[in-house]
Amino acid sequence: MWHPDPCARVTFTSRQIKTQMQAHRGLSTPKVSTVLSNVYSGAGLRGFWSGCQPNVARCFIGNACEIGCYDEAKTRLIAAGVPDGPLGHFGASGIAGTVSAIFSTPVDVVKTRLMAQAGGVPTEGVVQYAGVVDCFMRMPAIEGVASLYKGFVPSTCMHNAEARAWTCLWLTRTPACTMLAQSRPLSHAAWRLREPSRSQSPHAKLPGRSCTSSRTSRRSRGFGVRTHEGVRIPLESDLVFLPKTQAVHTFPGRRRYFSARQGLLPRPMQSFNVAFSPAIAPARTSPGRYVSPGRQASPGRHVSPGRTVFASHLPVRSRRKEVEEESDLPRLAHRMGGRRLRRWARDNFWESVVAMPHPDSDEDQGAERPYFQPGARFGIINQNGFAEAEAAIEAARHSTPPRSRPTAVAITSSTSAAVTRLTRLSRVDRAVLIEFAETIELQEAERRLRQHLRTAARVILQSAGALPPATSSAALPPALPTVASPAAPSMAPGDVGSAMLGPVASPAAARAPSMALPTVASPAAARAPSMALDLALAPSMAPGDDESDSSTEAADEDGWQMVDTAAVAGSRWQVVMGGAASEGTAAGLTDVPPQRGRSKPRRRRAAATAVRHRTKGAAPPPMMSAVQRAVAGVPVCELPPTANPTLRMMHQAASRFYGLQVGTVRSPAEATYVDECAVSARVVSPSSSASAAAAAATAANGECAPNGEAGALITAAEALVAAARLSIDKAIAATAKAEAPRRRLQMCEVK
Amino acid sequence: MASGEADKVSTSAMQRFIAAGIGAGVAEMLTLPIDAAKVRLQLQCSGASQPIRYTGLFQAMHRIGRDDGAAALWRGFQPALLRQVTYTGMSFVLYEPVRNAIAGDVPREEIPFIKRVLAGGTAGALSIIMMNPTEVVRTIGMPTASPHRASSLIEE
Repeated sequence: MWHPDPCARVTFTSRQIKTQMQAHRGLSTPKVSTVLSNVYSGAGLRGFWSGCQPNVARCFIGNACEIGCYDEAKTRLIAAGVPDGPLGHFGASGIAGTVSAIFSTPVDVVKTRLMAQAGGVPTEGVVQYAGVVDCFMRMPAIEGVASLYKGFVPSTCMHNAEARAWTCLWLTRTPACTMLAQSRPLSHAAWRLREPSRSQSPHAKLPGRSCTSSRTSRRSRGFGVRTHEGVRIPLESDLVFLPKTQAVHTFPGRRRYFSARQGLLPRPMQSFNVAFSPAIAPARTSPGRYVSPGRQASPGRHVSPGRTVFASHLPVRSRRKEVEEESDLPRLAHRMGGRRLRRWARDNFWESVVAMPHPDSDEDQGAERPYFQPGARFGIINQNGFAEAEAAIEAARHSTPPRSRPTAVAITSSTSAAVTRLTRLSRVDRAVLIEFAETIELQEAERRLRQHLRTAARVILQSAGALPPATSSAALPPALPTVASPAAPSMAPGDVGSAMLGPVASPAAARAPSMALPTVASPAAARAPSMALDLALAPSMAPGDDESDSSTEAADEDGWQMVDTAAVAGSRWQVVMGGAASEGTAAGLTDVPPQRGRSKPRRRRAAATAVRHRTKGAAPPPMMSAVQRAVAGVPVCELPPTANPTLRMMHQAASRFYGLQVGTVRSPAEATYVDECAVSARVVSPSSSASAAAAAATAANGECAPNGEAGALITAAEALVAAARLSIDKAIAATAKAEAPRRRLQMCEVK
Repeated sequence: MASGEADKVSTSAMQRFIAAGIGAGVAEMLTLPIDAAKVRLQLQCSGASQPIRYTGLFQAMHRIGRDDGAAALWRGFQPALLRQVTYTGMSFVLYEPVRNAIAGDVPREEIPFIKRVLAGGTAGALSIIMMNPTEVVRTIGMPTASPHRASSLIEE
């Protein structure tokens, strides 16, 4: 009985044939037990592996074609423009099934015949084959080559169906999300992490829950990623929407991006867990209003707990209107359904996940980690500030009179690095920055920014009495960037940018009909004073104290007068600036020696009193700038004790810089101010640009080393201010060159 | 961490098997008539003395339905279902380890075409080696000719 060919081993007697046929005769299918016993009695256990060779070949070919061709076909279809949806998948699986049928049908025919033979069922032509090779040889010889493709059409149909079932399984993952375990790291992490957090109470999934990190307690506290603000986005969320333009981060750690496709976890459609960026969250607030992260992070207003989580950021301005129109995002998501929501998210947002070593983590900081890990953070920079800087640069470029461009710009390596950094940070066209770099070196701009920050902090501190002047002067390197103007040597050494932004005390301004610079305070900026505004306001007043004589005060008052009326009008602020000052700007930027310990708080207070008197006469301004508040004598209070060192640092910086008491709101006016200025004392996270400025100021004071969040914020603030100041400086310089010094100068409008 | 990985692998393999089995079962039930027609088409010898009974897919299905009743199209679905579920589930389960063994620890998107083809084929071959008995039972159990024809064969 033994035969080397397994198919030939199966011999069958006429009795078996008869049995088989009798089973067929009764129009009933042979029972499984009958078939089993027949095969076993015929060829023993080996009978069950009859036809194994062609079957293996068939399955190998079929499977290989289906799997391999499916991926290949899908890639090509998508490359050819077919949408990556059901159409693409079905097209690809159809192609795969057809190819697979082409290659596997001959083997399939052979297999079928051999197997039928093994079971004792004769083929109709009563042809018996000795084995695979024999079948392959004799079938074409007897019945023609086409016989190898018998049943090609049904075979194709079946392969198609198989391929589609296969791909449907891959696509839908319906039974128990099994297909998540692809090698995508996100999916892996989600798969692994999904389990423990499921058992948690819904409240544990809410944002704003800061969780202490220890590796042992990881299971108990669930998983998620924490955003910059400590908002935790749980991994139950399948979609994490972050504003597209906010995705750049400047952490010193590694940078990870998820494309929209990678980031979207495939789940059964219509049942998303959505983590929305706050870009979508502040839908119920009035447009243009900054909502502090602490307030908008209350999720109950928007969603059922555990379903939707907000990170905290403002929308990109261009998207803002649309985002606010589609106010109720959960309902919107429900209405849109899965596909539209995904597309919408892909169009408007993308994800960036920053693999950051957790501060408390005991792991090696340089070790490679999966993307979604507890403690991983989203590094987001408030794009609002960048938008301002961009707008400023854009406006400045358009307002600059056309002139011949230089054919080549010599850029030093340091400048090039700065350009790169700024480009990355602010997403400004590199050419624009290079164009600016020809006028002012970016390094110089950065240096001046740091000086500005220092000066601002010093002035605020001194004027508000937070620090004794001697101490602050000793502590702060008071290098103040100034403009040495030959025409006005006694002029306040105000930087041009600050002169534009804030009131400039200048004898020339007091004397002469001046060049008025309508500046940056738009109503939006009045509601949320930009960092650049406050920063620029502050140092512009310092020189007035430092160097001026009695005429300075008048000029100071003039400046404040302008500010006050403008503030009442609510539209824009005008600054009086002498023509001599503009000439000095054109002449070049040089530093004067630092003026140490010469500030006069008493005179400052006198000026503040004058301001107060004037504001009492007029209608009350809708808000006071931070500097005004500081000037008006709002005391800086002691810091409340805070456990978090970073928080404490931020509080300190904010309180010093803005002259605010941290932790309490003392009056309705102040509450309004806190609201409007987005310097909310209740803000626990340093996300706003104001806080960034505060952090920057603190860092500039040398109180902390720029690292981690503070470092990122400082970098952001620096980039913002540097970009804005660059634009301003360049515009002023160009205009002063091109135009007469006493003409009115329309300048950039931020916002 | 290690135990977590092990948990993940075991559960996902089991779930994959189940998922693939369900999917394949549904697909098999839908395509069983096609399969019946296919088997008959493949088994009939052209060029022999017998007249051609089945010429095409739909003609074959129609003829089977007319001769043997519509139930004949689904006759023997139990072994077919058994075969399909076991084979597909097994190849599903095997595909990933085989792919990882062939391609190494490379992200899924970067596996070259040929390696993917190899992996798919190997997984299919391995699983059918294991599940060949079900295939045998299924093929034999599927009626290959109408009973009248079979009885006439017997009488000879």
